[in-house]
Amino acid sequence: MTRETPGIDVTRRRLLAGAAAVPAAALLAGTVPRTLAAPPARDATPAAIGHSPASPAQWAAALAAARPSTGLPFC
Amino acid sequence: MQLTWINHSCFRLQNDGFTAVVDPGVTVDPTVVADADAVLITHQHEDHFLPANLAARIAARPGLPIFTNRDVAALLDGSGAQVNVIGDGDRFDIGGIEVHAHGEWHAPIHPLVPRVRNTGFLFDRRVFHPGDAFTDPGVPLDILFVPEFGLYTRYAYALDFILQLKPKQASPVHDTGLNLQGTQGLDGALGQNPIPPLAPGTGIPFVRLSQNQPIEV
Repeated sequence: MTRETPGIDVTRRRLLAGAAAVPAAALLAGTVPRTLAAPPARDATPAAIGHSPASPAQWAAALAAARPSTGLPFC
Repeated sequence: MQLTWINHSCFRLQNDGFTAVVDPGVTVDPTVVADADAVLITHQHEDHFLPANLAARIAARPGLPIFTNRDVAALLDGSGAQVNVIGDGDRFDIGGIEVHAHGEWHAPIHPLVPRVRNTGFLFDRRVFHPGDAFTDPGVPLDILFVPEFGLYTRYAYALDFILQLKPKQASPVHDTGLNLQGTQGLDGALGQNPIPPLAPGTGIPFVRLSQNQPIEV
């Protein structure tokens, strides 16, 4: 049975998959699959993380509390 | 376009008075975004996305445009930023700089570690910041930024990334945690000239950018 591991073969497959996703010719011709001349903007809403911050600082504090630091700036 | 490597995976891009900042994570000071007109985030890991680094700038400029994938966008709900959700294949402009988004996922760390969505950014079709992945944007590159150290990479991956994409220049990023001996050793082993019998050489200049020094690209 083949088991996916984080080895070099996996990385190579992903390199090839990435190359196939957006052909160079299409990119250079400006025919990439989706083009956002004006990217869809959405105003922030608090629903996703379950709080209603009154300020960006409160948002940051709430998110920091919800996502404790790993202390590992390597990933 | 002026490009300034701050450290790790964080850059400032400036063009015609417009400033964009990429991946202002835990390794940089919040002042790096103090004058940002836009922020781009490759993925949610804290060395690329630290809410505390964004809060003051968003407070000063409500509706600060942030371009990122949908997973990070969900975390930005409630921030007061204007979140622009982008993904593989999208194109957008920031201050006259054309940006193409490439890639879907962070490189594997371990089967037990959840993978997160990762989006690389191709600037003006010739300078590529992959985030934490080894995506091929499929175009000739002037500069390829190569993750040098981390939980998901190692020398072999970085070497293959350079050899397969064949940029005019490769430059290291994602190197926090390496000491001077580590950066010098890896920079040399990823460089253009062979180091017999251990490193084959890539034939491609491997240039460590000076931190906080703008370059024209």
